Amino acid sequence: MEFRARDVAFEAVREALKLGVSEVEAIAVWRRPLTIDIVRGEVNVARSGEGLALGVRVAIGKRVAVGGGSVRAPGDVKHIVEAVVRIARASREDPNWRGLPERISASSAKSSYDARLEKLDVGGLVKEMLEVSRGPSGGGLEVAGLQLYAVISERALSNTSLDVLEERSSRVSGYVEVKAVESGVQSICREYHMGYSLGEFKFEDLLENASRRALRGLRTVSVEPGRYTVVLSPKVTAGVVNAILSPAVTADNVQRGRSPLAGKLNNMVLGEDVTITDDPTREGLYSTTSFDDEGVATRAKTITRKGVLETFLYDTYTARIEGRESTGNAARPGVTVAPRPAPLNLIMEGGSESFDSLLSSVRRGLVVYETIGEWLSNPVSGHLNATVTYGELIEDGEFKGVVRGVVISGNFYNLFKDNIEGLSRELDNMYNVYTPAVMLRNVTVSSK
Amino acid sequence: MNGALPEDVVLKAIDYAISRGARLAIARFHERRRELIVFDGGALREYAFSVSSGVGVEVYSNGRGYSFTTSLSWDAVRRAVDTALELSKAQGRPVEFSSGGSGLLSYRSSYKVNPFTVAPEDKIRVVEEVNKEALRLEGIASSVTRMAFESDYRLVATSEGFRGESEVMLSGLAHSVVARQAGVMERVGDMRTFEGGFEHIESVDWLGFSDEVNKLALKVVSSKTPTPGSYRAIVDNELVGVVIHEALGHASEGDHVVSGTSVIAGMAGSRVAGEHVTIVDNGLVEGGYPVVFDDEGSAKVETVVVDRGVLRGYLTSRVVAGKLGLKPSGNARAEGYDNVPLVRQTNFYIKPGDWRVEELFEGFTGLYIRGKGMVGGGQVDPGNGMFSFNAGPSYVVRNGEIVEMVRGVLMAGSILEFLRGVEAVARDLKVETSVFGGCGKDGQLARVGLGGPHVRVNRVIVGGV
Repeated sequence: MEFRARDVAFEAVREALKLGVSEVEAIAVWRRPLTIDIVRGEVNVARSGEGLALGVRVAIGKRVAVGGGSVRAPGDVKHIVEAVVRIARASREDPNWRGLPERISASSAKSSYDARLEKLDVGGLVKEMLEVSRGPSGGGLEVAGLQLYAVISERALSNTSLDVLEERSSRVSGYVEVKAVESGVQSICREYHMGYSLGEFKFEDLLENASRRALRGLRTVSVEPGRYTVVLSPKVTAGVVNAILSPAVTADNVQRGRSPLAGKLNNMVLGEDVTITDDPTREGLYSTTSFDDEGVATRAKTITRKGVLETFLYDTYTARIEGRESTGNAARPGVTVAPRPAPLNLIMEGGSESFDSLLSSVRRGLVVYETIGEWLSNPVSGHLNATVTYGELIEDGEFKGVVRGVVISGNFYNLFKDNIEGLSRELDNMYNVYTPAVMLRNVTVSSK
Repeated sequence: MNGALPEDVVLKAIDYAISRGARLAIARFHERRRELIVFDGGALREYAFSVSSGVGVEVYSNGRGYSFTTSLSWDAVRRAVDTALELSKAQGRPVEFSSGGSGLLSYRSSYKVNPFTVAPEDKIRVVEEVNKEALRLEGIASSVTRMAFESDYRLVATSEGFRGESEVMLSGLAHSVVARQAGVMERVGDMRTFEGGFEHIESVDWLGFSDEVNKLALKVVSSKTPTPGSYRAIVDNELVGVVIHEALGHASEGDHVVSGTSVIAGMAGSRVAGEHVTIVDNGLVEGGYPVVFDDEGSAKVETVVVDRGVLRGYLTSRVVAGKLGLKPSGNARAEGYDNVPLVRQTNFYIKPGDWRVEELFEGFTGLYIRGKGMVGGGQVDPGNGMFSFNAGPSYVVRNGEIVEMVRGVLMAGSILEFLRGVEAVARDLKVETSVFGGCGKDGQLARVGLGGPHVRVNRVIVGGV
């Protein structure tokens, strides 16, 4: 690539200052992804490439604008900065604007980065993946899909201070989809891993989990509608927490009347077993980083301690509305849009029991491993809804059959405050949310 | 651009790939320009713009290799071609693909006023007025209003002699509010998107539009959630688009069929839906998102997926068509230059039937499930044949009469049971696109058209509390 992220961010700040802005912040992200997608034992596509994008936020007094785009040729940085400044000049004042961070700094956290991804042997990886995809032979099992996604990126940030922060990081995910067929009945199950390094997982392990479930899924049972004890697997719990709790603990939703947790600081909002932290400094997690997307050093904070709400998550904008410091949680959904507060590594602490021990204590209930639509749950009302695509009916700790197509629902706060039976020791993640399995009473199950 | 025109770069990339042994080369220049204005709680929260552009190269030497670059320098583009070729060669045996054919195709949205040249103040004024008006109402706790514009330019060329050029302009406004009453909070939103320019924004009574949203929120917050269970249902002509998109659209995407993870794989010629149901994927329909060719250089033709209840076809890309022995249907679409084209829907909808909407309600008892006010969307598991989606404020109906409003409706079901359970299809076809969202698949977003006519079905599962 002709341009370095660090130089681009710094140049953008200098250009903006030349145009007379009061404040400026520039973030440049270079990335190089690799995707290998295998379908039924053949490579569907392999993809790689590289790109650099710039995002700029300027303030002229309280007039603020954000913009950015791809950097493809010399002169693009200047054009982007000029366009953002033009909009800021024509824009309205934001009465809540109280400035960007005066200084930028990083914590001692080591960003999640696997240097081995710099020089990958694609041919070797393809060969390994093809071997795995031909793995389970017989028994009506087939690997429908196998996918690897690995990306290395370099993020550089500068602001009015003219200091520059930079960090290299990586993300890796693996995905397996397995189909079992028997007597005209088919059952499909999936397993995935999301992390930062190739060394964290083996496709063989993902395949084993997905295969076991796919085979079991050939025999489904139906359940009557009603209230059930439900164990959400760690990944399903992470999906639910991500959909309902993550938005509710961010300060912009709290301040704007979109969080049911508004006004509940120091109140018990979850069960006494539930301690949740946001820790972007913990080594080796999905979003571990030393600075947030406006150059504030990251740090760990406890959101709920034994169920009691201790803090919301702030960026500089929302923090200064309340006259406090940012918690270092500014995150940009994309390089070219404004940062907003969001969890970086949201971690719900596990309990003392193993997942298996938790299951053995279920007298009659569902263990939910795969869902769709959990992300459609309502973070404003706390209304949880998810359609179970793979669940297991358990009676006296014994597996009785697979349940599919039922809808589980309830109020998240009611369930996670007053109806928790247990938390597993083991955690797993979906993106940057790490949770244990959670055993809940009184979950509504709707079926045909 | 270092003096290089996108067309020159694209054609040079193709020639270079062929000279290095590619059997097929497809190159695409893509530039997307967006502008977004957000008012939140009465204050301008964000005024943002972005211009994303680059070149993507898809080559078939052995397998299918894809690479991209944001830089338009020839060195960078040549490296992208080299990378794509290396990736292709690393795959062993040659993959088969169908020809997309040659020729020229072009499309350009017509607009009178380019929204990107309109003074920011003129745009801000509209958004601000709508946003602040909601906050004057007692019971509205939050008001977010967004205005967005998007210009999407694509230039696609292939070594088979195809050239396609498309520029689509969208303009729209979205408004969502949270109402609070007696400790209960509920959100309601609505949006309108037009293909065209700022003249559409100027033509709408936005205060009237947002007033409906605000009043709906104030009403729904005091309504009950439905009793969970199985219901007979009428699905309105806004929500039916999401239902059909999720329930059948994804399952008809040929990549799922090839991988054996579609519940309708191998069912061509079989009855999959009620006899009233004809479903098409059409690149050009009023109100929808226009697609006249795809990102692999295949013309988008109207694909009849279901004809009077019988499964007739699938949506395809080059490779999928090759594997299924079909022609490419023009459904290989990529979100950006850095994305591999995937099999995606364009405007996927049920064709209108013979029933008047009122006739659907005659003697009907069940739920009238509506899209208006919906926040969210839907999801499908095409392999196991299940779908799930949010609805807006909906209604309990007894003997044809609306009895009460219900909130928090999540509707789920089996793809085939839903389609086979369609009892009646109304005449009132409506298709809409959105500049604020679209369909997500494998991490890529595609603009699509959603809609259809009102339909009545014999059973869906509804979740509740």
